[in-house]
Formats: sequence, C-alpha cells, structure tokens
Amino acid sequence: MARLELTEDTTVVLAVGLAAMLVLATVAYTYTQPRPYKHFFEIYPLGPGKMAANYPTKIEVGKPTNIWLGVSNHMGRVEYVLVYVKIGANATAIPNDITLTPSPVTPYKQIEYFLMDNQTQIFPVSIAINKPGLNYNVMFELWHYNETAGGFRYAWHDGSVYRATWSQIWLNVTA
Amino acid sequence: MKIMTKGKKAMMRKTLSLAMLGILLATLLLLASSTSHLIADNTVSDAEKAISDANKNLITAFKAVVEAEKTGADVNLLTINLNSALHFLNESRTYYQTGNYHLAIIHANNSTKLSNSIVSSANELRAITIQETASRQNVTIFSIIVIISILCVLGYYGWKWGAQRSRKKLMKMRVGVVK
Repeated sequence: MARLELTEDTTVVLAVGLAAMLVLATVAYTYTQPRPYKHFFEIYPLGPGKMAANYPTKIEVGKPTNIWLGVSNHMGRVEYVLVYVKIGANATAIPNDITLTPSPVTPYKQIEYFLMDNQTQIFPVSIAINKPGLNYNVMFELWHYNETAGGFRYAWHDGSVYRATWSQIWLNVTA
Repeated sequence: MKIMTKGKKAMMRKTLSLAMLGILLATLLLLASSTSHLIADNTVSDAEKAISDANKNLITAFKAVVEAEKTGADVNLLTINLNSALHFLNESRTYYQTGNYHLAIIHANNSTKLSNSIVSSANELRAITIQETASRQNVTIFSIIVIISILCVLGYYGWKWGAQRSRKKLMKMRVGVVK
C-alpha cells in the first residue's frame, strides 16, 4: 500500500480542499436557515369601487352603505383571522396602540376567514346606522387565533414586538 | 220502567264510553305535547352540541394545517377546505339563531366531517413532506460529499500536473549569462 507523503503539493491540496469544504458548508448552512422576517397583518377599508378612493362620508339613516375591507396576511404561515366591525360615536374610545387594547364598543359585525401566507382577501361590508349624528367612527379591528391562548387575540407578535392592527372611516348620518 | 232502565243504561254506557274516549284523547294530547317539548329540547341541545363540536374540530383542523405548513408542505388546498368548513359552521350558527335546529345540526355535521377530513389530509401531507425533505437532505449531503471528493481529486492531480509541467519547463531552460 502506497504511503501518502505529506509533500508540499499534498499539503496545498489538503488546505484547498478543507477551505472549499468550509466555504461550501457555510453556504449550505446559510441557505437552509430561514431569513429574518418581519411578520405583519394589514387591514384597510376600500371604497365602493374596491379602490382606496370615494369613501362614503355621508349616509342616510337606516340606509345600508356598502364598502369593502381588505385584509392581508404576511405572518409567514396560514392564519385564522377575525375582523370586528365596531361603530362608535365621536367620543367613543378607539383601540389603544400603546397598551394594544381593542375598542370597548360592542361589535356590530364580525368576519372570520382563514388566510394563507401572503394572501389578501377583500370582504364586502354593509353598514346601516339607525340614528342621525355627526362623526360616527366605523372601526375595523383585526384579531387572530392564538393557539397558545386557545382563542382570538387582538395583539400579534411580529417576531420581535407585539403589535395590533386596526383602521377606521368617519361617517355623518343624516335624517 | 224496564224500557226507561234500558234507556238509562244505554245512556250511561254512552257517557262512560265518551268519558273514556275523552280521557284517552287527553292522555294522548298530554303525551304528545310533553314528548314534542322533549324532542324540541333535545334538538336545541343537539344543535348546540353539534355547533360546539364543529367549532372544536375546525380549530383542530387549523392546528393540523399549521403543523403541516411548518414542514414546508403546500397547504393552499387545505386552507380552501378550512374556509369551506368555516362557511358550513357560519351557516349552522345562522340556522341556530333563526330556530331552524335541524338544518343547524346538518350544517354543523358537514363542517365537522370536512374538518376531520382536513385533519387526516394534513397529517398525511405532513408525513409525506417530512419524508421528501429527509430524502432531499440525504441527496444534498451525498452530492456535497461527491462534489468535494471530485474537487479534491481534481485539485490533487491538477496541482501535480501543473507542478510537473512547470518543473519540465524549468528543466528545459538554458542557463545564460545576463549581459
């Protein structure tokens, strides 16, 4: 059996081989690791033409007004979402972005849906208010199913901190 | 007198039979009303139970889909089915609110059936994806080993060949005095 002599050539080949192995291993490891990713939800009302324009501002008492609501999931996985539509008067407490607490108003409507990762879904929302008044705020809160808590939660974790998503439109209701 | 007695007896018999019939009818009515009340009660609780079960099964199905997705499986179709199960559940809730318990139970059961099939599909998909990922990893590791080995061999002989060539070139050189 031939003995492997550690000549200069052999040493160089071994060194290059080891370096190549290290480089390849590093590249393979980096490739297989998940990229750092900020998770987030989006919620936004749209006008009757499914565009971010021509929002209703004045509606008649008791007459249903149709708008659209867009919800996007960028949480990196399938999510079970729940949208609460809440109608409050001018002084009604809106959701708190610092304490991440939802509005205390009783929900007027709710929409449930399973959203895939990177999926956007648009839902029709019909709103009718039976009392005339100025500055009604129609709030849209996005909740999601938290398996650990075993129920729907308002705040969600973006990978580093907790956040909450909501949106609103203002309406004047005339007699 | 005898005729009168006979007539009286016949009247009494008639009255008795009418009374018996009345009692029988009243008992039947009472029984029917109490039974229907029982049936209605059962339907309400059955509907409540069916809706609650459908809700639990939907959550279980969602968790199974999330687990399948974690392995890298494509869960698009399963998510569509989850929304169908949710649709059945919502229909069931609506029927329950309007008092149509029979339809509420049917829709809740449909939701449960769909959720159960989602769970089994998600588990299957998860197992298949894990297997595929493992075999893909094995192929990758094997390929890396083969590539590195080929690189080492090529490098070794290439280096040797290059060194030999440069040595030969050196040997062919003539020694001359620089002017």
